[in-house]
Amino acid sequence: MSANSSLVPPQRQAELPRGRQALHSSVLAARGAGGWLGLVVTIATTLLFVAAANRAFTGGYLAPLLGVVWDVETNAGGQSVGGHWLEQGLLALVQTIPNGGPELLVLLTSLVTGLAIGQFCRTLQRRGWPISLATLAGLLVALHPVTLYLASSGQPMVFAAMSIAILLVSVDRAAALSDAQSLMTLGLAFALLFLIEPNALYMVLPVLAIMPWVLVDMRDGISGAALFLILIVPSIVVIATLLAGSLVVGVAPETILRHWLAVLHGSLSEDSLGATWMSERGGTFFDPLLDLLGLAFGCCPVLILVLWRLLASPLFEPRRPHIRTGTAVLAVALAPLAGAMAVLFWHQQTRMAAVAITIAAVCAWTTTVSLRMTERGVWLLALLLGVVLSWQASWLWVDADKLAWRSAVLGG
Amino acid sequence: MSASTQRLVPNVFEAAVAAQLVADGRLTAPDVAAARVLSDKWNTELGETLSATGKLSALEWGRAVAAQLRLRLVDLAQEPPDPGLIHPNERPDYISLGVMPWRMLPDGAIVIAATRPLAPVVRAWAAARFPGRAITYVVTAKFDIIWAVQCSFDHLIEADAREALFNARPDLSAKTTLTVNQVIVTWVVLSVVIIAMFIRPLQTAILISSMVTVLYTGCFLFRFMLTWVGAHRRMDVTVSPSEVASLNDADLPVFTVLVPMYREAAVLPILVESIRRMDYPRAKLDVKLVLEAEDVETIDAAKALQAESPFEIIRVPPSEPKTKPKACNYALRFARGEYVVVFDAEDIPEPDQLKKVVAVFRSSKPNVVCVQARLNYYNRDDNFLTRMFTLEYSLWFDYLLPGLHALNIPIPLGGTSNHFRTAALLRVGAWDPYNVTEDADLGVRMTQEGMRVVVVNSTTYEEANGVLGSWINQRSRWIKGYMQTWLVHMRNPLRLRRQLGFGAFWGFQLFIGFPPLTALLNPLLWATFIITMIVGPERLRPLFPGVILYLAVFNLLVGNAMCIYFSILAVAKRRWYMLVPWGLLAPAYWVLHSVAAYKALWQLIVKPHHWEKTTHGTSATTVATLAELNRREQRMPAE
Repeated sequence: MSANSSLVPPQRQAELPRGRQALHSSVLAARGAGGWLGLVVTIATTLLFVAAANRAFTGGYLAPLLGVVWDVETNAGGQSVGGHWLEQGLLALVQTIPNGGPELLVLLTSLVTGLAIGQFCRTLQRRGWPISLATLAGLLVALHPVTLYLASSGQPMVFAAMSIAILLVSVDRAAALSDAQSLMTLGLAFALLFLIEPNALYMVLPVLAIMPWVLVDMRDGISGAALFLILIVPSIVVIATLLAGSLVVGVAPETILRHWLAVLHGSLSEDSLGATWMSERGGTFFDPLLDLLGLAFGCCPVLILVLWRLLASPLFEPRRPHIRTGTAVLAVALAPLAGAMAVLFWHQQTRMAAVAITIAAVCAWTTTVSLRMTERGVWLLALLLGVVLSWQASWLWVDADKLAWRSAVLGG
Repeated sequence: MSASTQRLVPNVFEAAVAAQLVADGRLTAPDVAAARVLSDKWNTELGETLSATGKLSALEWGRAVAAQLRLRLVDLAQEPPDPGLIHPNERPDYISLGVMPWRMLPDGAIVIAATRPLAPVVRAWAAARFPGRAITYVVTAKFDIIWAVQCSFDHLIEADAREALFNARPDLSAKTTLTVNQVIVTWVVLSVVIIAMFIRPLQTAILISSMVTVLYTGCFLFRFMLTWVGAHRRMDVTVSPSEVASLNDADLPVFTVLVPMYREAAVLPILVESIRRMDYPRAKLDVKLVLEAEDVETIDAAKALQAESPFEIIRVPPSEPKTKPKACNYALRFARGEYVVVFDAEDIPEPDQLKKVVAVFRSSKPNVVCVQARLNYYNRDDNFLTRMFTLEYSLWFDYLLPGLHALNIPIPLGGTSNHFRTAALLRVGAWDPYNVTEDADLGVRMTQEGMRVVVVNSTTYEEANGVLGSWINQRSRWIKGYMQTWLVHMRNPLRLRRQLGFGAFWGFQLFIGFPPLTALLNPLLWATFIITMIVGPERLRPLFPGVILYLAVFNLLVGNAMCIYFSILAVAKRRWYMLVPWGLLAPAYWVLHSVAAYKALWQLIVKPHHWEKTTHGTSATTVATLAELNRREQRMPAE
């Protein structure tokens, strides 16, 4: 061995082959495009959500739903919001607004959902979708009853769905670029999920499980352990901060944990309408998995297109078929898997949450692939079908409040 | 293009000299043919190529040239030039053209000592310098010219190296640590704080805790932003391999390499080997081994290496302050290159670094005057210190500096591998010999002058300091230097704000001003935390009212934890995954920083210009490499 070779390692700086650079290049090159489309769709969808909320509110059906979230201090409210740390922070801010009430929550979730859908349309345009189709896609997502319900009734699940979308986009970026920033983004997305969703662990685990397949640098035990460490440390920071932070401000960590577990076990409370679902499926894995898979495909048939692209990925990505498939696998399986795991451990998991996560995941997947025109048509038709089915599906509207909300919005 | 890269001597003449050398048995015909091919490829003279590749010495070539021209070969060390004929302002000409007026004959004719007496530029220079005089020539060697310039103008060059910046811009020199105004402001602030502590202790304590909390939050957010921006892979590709390959050797300029050393004879072979491996026409390298005149051991070691002609020894005359920047300033006066770079003795730059730098300079605007290569360590697995040092350097050079670059914030240059446009470096006053982190200071000074520093995707591998005492010394020098740099540039904050702009001004505060301060404050905050844990949070709560408490908790938990996370992430770009878990031990490393910071503060007061020398050659990896080099050296004669 030469003297030099004993000293200098081979240059390992992240210089990717041109092909992999190109994976993100179309989006990067078009950065800045579609700004006005995003703005228009944001405004339109926000108005749609507010209008829906107004109908439900005047019908008297919104107040009970909102009250549960708003009333943080009382037991019922605490159970709903505990574990939703980010929303709790936002709620604390909203509650400082003079003369504000639960209606402000609706405004917040409507605006945030509108912004997310606007960003979705903007990204589609950057991906080469015509403005008309991108707008239609955004409107269909907004008209999906699950989106409409969550946004117009101030539900914290909106934030969880968005963080899932961010997570999937991060997975795709990490697979495509594998640079330090994408690892960082992925780690922070996990942490964000832990701040937002009490069931985060069940969502994070399936994503971590496919990392060795997605991250090209996970080649052996050492690189695997190191990369897992990089991915999970931000989440550990978040959890440790919540527990240790409670100490510093004079609250026992057990209180924080209890607050969290209250949500996880919220399904056990008698008045929780999730209890029906839990009493039927709690403690099992495969039954709820199949249920949720069916529900996901029924409410969001775009999954068929995702599945097709997943199975046919060698045709689309012959050199690196695994790169896009990680996101596709998660879009199809994340929500049912996370839901089934939660149910296995008797943790609360409403069926609507699985649909919300699926819609967010499908939208995220759509922004990461280049679809041909026919595929875009199929995408839109499938989502339209999903919207129609979801408004009709009796298994989605099992809860009296939700049924009342649907009646009010539909004018029934 | 500097004169020395042009082929000044006719091919026919070169061929005749080479033929004579072959006839004398000094060279073989294949040697000459190979050198001719290289000369054509590099666009260099045959004599330069032969001496650069070690086929014969510059002196031997000079002797052959003299014989061919039937001129006398003079040794300027034995027969120095007539002091009446030389002028200090002409030093750059002497160095770049290889000429020196030597004697005046009784008939008034001037004898010029030249390395290339036939070169038209040499003749034109002589005619312009001594108009109307008859001019004759003697031949001399390149090293004789350097030696003669040093002997003739030693005191001038030395004074220039030491005081040029101070004389031109005393406000930008660290020769004075604190100005009168700074002393007054410091005194007033301290007095007010002490008085306020007596009159309103609680309110004063709240004010201090609030300021410290906000400062830490700012530092963390800034560091997060830099890490985030620097983590993008776009930051890693400045020059692609194809761009390097597209460079034509014939068009490359002379590149000066300064290697300041002090008592580092042991590691000298590593540097020489690294330079030999550089993918750059060797005849276009101008390597200056910058040695202190009294460091006989290293000078002898350098001579004993019998390195090829690009390697020159520059002896720096003894004077205070005895610092690396002063030595570099001194050697810079002998630089022939269009570009100049500083390497440390134990450095191993990646072979294509110089070409990448040339590519960056050529594709950049003229105001890009410095290209900083990344630094990292080859002995990272030696011990805890070297591992942590590697994590720190990886974060610094792979994330934070590219982040600064992207955000157009002054880049504090790293200790070595900063490549400059020579003319711009001289124009800005070169290094401040009184600043012990002269490179950091220079980066800020250049930004103030509207110049830009950029980062290139090439790494120089160094020896990490793995000896605790030596590490503390080195780190205390760095922290002291940052303190000096901050104090110098904050002498006139309004002017600095105007020159840098808002973002860069605050970037300067957060990156250069606050880190030494936080290293000093950290032990106090750790103590506060421990006290809080012992006596309970309620006792200290009055010091952190309202939102300050939340910010403090955020800093304590999220800020610290994320800084640990940055250490973990630091080596992800280089895929040195074995080091990732070591990032979790970063807090232990921060304790050492604070120890060094207090030493730095003490030295800033009592010995502001003292240069804590880093000991090199202690690593087992370095020792093994040197042994390998020695073995190869010993095998070579047998082969």
